[in-house]
Amino acid sequence: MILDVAALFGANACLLLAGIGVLRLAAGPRPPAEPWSRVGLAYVAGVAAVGSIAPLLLVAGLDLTLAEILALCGTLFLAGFLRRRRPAEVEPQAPRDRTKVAAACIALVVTFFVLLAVDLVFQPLYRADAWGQWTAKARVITILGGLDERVFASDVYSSYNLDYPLLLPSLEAIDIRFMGFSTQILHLQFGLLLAGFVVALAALARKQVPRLVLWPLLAVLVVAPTVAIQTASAYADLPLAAFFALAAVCAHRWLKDGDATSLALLGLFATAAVATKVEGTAFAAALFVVVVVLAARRSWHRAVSAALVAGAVALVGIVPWQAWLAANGIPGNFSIGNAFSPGFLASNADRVPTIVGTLARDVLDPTSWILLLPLALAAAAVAWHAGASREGILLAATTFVLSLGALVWIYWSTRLPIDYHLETSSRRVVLGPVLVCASLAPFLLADALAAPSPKQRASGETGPV
Amino acid sequence: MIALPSDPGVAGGVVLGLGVLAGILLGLVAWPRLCSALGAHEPAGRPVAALLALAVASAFGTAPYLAWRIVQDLRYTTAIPRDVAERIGAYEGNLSGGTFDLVLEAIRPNETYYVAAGGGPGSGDFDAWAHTVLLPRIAVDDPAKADWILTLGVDPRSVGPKVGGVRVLTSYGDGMYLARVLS
Repeated sequence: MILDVAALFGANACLLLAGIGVLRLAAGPRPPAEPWSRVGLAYVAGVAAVGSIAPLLLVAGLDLTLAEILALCGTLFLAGFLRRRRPAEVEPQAPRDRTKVAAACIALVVTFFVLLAVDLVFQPLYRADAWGQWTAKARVITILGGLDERVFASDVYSSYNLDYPLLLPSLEAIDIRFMGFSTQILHLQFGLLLAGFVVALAALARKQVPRLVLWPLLAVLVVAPTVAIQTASAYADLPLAAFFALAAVCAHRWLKDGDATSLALLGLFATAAVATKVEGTAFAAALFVVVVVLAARRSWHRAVSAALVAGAVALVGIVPWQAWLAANGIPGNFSIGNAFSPGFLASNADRVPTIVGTLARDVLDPTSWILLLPLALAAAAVAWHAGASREGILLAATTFVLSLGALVWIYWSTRLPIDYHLETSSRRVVLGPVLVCASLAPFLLADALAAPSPKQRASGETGPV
Repeated sequence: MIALPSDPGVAGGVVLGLGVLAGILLGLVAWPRLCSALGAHEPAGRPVAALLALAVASAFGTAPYLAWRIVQDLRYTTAIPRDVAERIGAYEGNLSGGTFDLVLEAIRPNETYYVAAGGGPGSGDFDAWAHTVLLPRIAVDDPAKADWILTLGVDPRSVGPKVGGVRVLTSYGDGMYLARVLS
């Protein structure tokens, strides 16, 4: 077991190296500083990049052998040195948190991660879609070599949901190449991704959000029951939610600062979301619609930049895989026909109240989320009342509503019995929209604190820094 | 998590109660400190401080109970033998996980097989488990094109093509059978 854990860490060290190169490539004039949090951001960027490129290699006919994986990670690492970096700007020292609140919350988060990691190492792969779909595809890739059409293009294996994107099976295939078929240790991969996500959030928030504001909210996010449960499920919902939330945070940073690095990372994480699950496309589309509209308020040039990034996301994350599916005659589970059929939607309109009610219950259920979403919504309300920039609030609120709306649409047009479909998936799929809201909440509170008071507005002053 | 308690019971209830009390206390301790640190930021300082105090209270208040639940799950999972854990999907689906090892010995890696289930216990996951555990052996949709027929609760002789060497792999549940398709 210890050797398997070491091998898994070896695989993830390669992903970290790849991410270091990706970050160097993406970093514009102002590379992110603070080494410890940069490690988290680099790691998740590496997972996103390798996870998005690996399916392209599979579609191109490669087998994701160990040599190919090492070559991919090495190439991404070295690519980062193609870009000459300016020396990191010295960032102003963040004020010390004399309340010790942030330190206490960090201690809670670390303790919880350690406990979760121990649990994950012993967790058996008991969920049917995990062993029967996601990990099953990873086994096919590693045992048969690549996208063997006797499986990936066969009706016999339709229970694999053959049309689903391949980021997670690719990631698990990488793990299997390093450590062999240890289905228990595989769960640790999801724990590493969750930890990387939290640290990456801290990295992205570093310049804008005081630690005192960030870490209490991150603590609620980490201890939320459904986050641990979804991490241990070995399903793709947590990876999707993490990529979607990071994309939204990068969008917020880009809209605020116009930082090219943030735009590049938005594209990277959105591509990874699209490459993870079918609803990732809907989530990314919702995010980019909001980003383009908000960017257009400032300038058409920015709106065009965002639209071009959206196009690149589609080109890398969607087109190749859909082309492979079409070439091999694999039908999609998601019924495009139903989704755009006014007749079908009208005749099944009675589904909508059930769907909306179920999703509302799922996002607010305190046994799943404690108070995560109410806190996030309250953060938006506080920011609005304080006169903070409307951009961040609109980004959070509209992305949340549109992504939930996308889920309503997906369920509305499902071919499956609606009660069955909701019962088996709704609690999981809301993870993405909720994490987006929760991840942006610290930024909204920071904006609220930075907003000028009415007296300052009247005298033309800005708020406290 | 396979063994998260759905009901706190007495012990969990005590942990939850104590945790909530501790969370409320911590929130009350944090509140003035947060107000002091953020109060200069008007008008949002105090509302933000209140929100953060509530976040502290809810995180610390529920963490002990949630940790207790994970520990209960861990007590269960650490007791599962490794070979059972690797086959847990089969056992959860009411299948005899170890029996598939006999199938792996009988069907060569480059051979094909056809799966049929009779609708009894285990039928729901039978083909899915076979499809994942029997790789690199490939499942086919036509028994006449298969090298082997693997069934659950179904006599392989009734599936279609002529078969030989019918084996009862296990009589657990409706019984699992393996037979070679005769050319």
